[in-house]
Amino acid sequence: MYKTRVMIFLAIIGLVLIALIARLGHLQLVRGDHYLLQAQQSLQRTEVLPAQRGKILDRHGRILAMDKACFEFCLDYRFITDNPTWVRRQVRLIARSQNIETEQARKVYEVLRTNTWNLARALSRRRGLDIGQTVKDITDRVRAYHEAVGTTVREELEFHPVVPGLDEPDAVEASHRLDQTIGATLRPSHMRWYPQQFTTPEGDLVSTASHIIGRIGTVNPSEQQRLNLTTDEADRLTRERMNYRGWDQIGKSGVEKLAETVLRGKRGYRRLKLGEQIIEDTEAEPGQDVQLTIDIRLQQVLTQRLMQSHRSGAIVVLDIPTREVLALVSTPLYNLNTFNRDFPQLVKDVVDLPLLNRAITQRYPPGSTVKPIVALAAMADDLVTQYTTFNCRGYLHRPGSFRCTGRHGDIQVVEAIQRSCNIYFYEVGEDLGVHRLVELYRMFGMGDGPGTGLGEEKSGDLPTDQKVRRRLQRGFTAGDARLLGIGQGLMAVTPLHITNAIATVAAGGEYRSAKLLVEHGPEQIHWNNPIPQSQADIVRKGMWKVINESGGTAYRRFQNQQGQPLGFDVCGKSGTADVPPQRIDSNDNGRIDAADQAVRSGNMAWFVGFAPYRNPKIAFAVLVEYTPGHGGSTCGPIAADVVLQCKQFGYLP
Amino acid sequence: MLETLLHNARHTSWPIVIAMICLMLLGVQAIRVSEQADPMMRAGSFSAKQITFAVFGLVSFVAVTFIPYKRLGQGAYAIFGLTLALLVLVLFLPPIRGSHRWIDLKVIMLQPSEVAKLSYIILLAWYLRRGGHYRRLRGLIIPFVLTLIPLGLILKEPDLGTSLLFLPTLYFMLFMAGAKLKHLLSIVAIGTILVLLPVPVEISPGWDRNELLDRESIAYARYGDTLVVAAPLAKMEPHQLSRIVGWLRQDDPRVAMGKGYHLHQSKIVLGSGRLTGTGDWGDASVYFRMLPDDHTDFIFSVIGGRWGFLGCLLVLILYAVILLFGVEIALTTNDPFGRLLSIGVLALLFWQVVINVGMTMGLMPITGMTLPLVSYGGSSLVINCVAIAILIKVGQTRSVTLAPKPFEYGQKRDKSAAATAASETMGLDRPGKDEDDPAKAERFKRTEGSTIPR
Repeated sequence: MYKTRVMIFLAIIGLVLIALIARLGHLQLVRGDHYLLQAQQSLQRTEVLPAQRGKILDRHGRILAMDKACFEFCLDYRFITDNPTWVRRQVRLIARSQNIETEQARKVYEVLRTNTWNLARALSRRRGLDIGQTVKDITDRVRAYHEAVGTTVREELEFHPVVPGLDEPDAVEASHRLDQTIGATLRPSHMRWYPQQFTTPEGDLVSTASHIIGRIGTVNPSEQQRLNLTTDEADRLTRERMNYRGWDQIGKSGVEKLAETVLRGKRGYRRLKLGEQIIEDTEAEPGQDVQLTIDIRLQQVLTQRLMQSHRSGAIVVLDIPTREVLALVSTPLYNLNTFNRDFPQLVKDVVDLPLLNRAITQRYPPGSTVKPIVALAAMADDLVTQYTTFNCRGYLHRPGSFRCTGRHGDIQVVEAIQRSCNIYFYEVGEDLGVHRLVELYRMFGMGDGPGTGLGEEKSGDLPTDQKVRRRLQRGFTAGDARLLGIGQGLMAVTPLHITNAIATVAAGGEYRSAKLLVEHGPEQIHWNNPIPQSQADIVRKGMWKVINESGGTAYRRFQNQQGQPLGFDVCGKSGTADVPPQRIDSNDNGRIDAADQAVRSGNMAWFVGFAPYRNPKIAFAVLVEYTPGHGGSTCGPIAADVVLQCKQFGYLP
Repeated sequence: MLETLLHNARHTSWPIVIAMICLMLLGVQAIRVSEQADPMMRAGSFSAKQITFAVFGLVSFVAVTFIPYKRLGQGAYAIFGLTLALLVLVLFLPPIRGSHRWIDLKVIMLQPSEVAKLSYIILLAWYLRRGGHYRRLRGLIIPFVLTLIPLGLILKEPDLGTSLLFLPTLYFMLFMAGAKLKHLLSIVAIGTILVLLPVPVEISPGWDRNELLDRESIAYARYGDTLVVAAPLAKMEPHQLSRIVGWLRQDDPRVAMGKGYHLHQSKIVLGSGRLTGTGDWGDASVYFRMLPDDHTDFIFSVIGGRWGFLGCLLVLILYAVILLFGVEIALTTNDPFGRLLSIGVLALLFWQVVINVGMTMGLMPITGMTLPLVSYGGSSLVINCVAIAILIKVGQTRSVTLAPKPFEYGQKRDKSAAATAASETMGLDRPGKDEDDPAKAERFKRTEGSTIPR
């Protein structure tokens, strides 16, 4: 019986061993190739070769934004999180390389760790960054990713850039101190550099055309989700080359955002076997350059001119035949090269709003600058002729409401434009009616976006039945029409809108949407408003008289430095729009209302125009915010300089 | 002295010794492979140490063969007591690598649980050598208590792998001693039922998404907010649970890259060896570094990766040689203590191999368990050498000259009183015999010393 039991024992052993061998055979012989492949795959390393971002150039090829070689200071994620396994490994490495005991090595590690954080902190401070915040962002992002995947992700074993954009001297200094650190490295990288800059009268260094160029920043998860190609849309290689990864830069505003796909390029992708043998290699494809129609020198000169006397405003210069934007000034502006450091202050400045592109984002009542357009419409609709006369008593029906800028007496269309008579245009506006006026403004491009394609641009705000009913719970009144006739009340447009409308007047009714990018921009929209030549001539004549005849709102404002006339014919129209004061949310109740403190008040002063009188080449608009002065007196002299500079830069014959 | 030596040499089961030495050499070689692959390990340090251990092991091996194994039996209670003291002591020492497994003797890290394995089978063999009492259910209580004491202490260290060894070893020894099959099987049945018993567990809001997924994946069923799980799972901590999930759900890619990462790596290293191992030595060797503990618990994967199916087969065949010739010793030994002792040694060896190899291949959950004679580690190596030395000693001591072998023909002929007694002492029942036969005890007493060791 004992023998039987021993045999059973032997049989159990035999059976179990056979089971083990069967499993072994399954793993090694049946599935062996599969496991070998897995082993080989996990031994492969992929390398991503960053693509250089395209440059942004002005119309003469001057560089506005470019990628500059730089270095970034990176920390190992396991160092950041004090991963115990990693730390133990480092301590062991130190012990081995210096031939010391583990306890001593641990002390050495602690010293190196302190050095690393000190270096990271010092470099961050120099770049105006907060190391604590950066590290928190990194760990938050990686943790979220870990949560989503449910297991260890590649990012947990990688270096993460902590201080980007170190220039040569900084990098050299850091590299000297790198020996005394652990878990840190310097990696070559690119940074965006904006060479066009100047110093403001207040002494700040700012980037010319900062609003137009825009900025780039780290891609955020929602952008990734929106832009990244899925497995259904593209093959693996395309996805590897095109998709945004955690630390990728993406255009956040301005042309950087508008032309993102052109500028970005495709990164290179390389797969290597261990021993650095390359299996697959795709070169990086650098991004293309993007050329703007802006003349950056003109832009800078005009910006400086505007800043000489005023805190905030805008200047737009358009080439009339092509509607290319020659200058698109908005002040105040900011420094793109130090944007990240300055950002907290820039956002906090709720009075001057330096981040706002006033030329295309902010809508203002255009005021009297629309009068030439209204005059054209009235004549086109046969409501008035050149000789139709209205009587201006200084007010429309009653003194105190619907007033005029003066008492113009009997007035006809040319003088009405020259002297900017409100009464004439109240009458005409009332005759035309709200719907016809809105239609008219649309014909001059004020209903749509100006056409540059920039994400910041806004379409004009023109009243519709629904909008008025929703906002004011009423229908249109005669008063609405009168106010619309002088560019006030229910309408607001951007400076670029009004410039293009004036260009349309100058071009005899031919409308084209504004063009900012030489290529790659949105398709230019084009239509012809049927305006009889004679009527257009009448309006242009009125605009000529604004500047060139006694009684014009900008008479004697158009002079050169010596007080001489410019020597060539410019047509213009001033505008002085009434606006409520600018308020900030001083009582912090989350909205801005009459109880809040008014920080700035005054008029929106305009001056728009074109030159030369015959065969016009350029149209321009000058806007100054919150000034006690009037369009003619405040903006006239600036407009004169705009025209002079355009002449100097060769945009006028 | 020389005569004794010659006698011993003549009666040594040489295949076992050769297989043992082969396994040790293979182990050293495999450790060298794993440390070559891992730049973090000081090259040669582990294999050099292992060679020292092996030499020490062989010295102990030879030394033990000079001790009459009966002496061990006489000292069984003392040895066991000492071991228990060590097991208690280790719990009060500062933890090393997170558990109370080692006693730092500066020269060597002593692992009391390894010692416990051996002293346990000596004690059990000594206790069970007198037949009879364990044929009743009540008689099984003491062997079980003797098992549960060291098991509990080792579980507290914690060293799940080693503690798992005790019950199967006990079973084999009880079975060989002659305990009733229906008793043994019913205990197993009750245990199985208890382990698999479904109990409801409320889904706790404290669980994160992954923990819920894990718990749900190994539950029997889910009704709304209640999971029905096997009883032990209900009380388990997440880290214990993760081992079960990593094992039971090893083919789920989510688990393979997370909870089952260790097993996943082990299977890749093992599987990628295919028939003859990685010829392209450079690549896969580097891959070994991704396998943690590759020189200790996962040495079998390294062998599989380096020498392939044939290498693994060789290792298993070497174990099979030890087991087969060990069984031959157990079979031909008349002394009940010797029989039980050799069976104990074999059972211990066998279960270590099964648990270790099984876990590297995903047949068992990962519990720390060394591959005997092969894995890096002094305590384990020396203890296994000593265990085999005891087996060899039993083999040397058996009265091979006695012919016919009383045991073999005992039942059939029922002639020789000695033979009958021998068979009786092993507790093997013959139909019609009363268990409480007073004559049996009498005969048993006489049998003591009937096979006199020389």
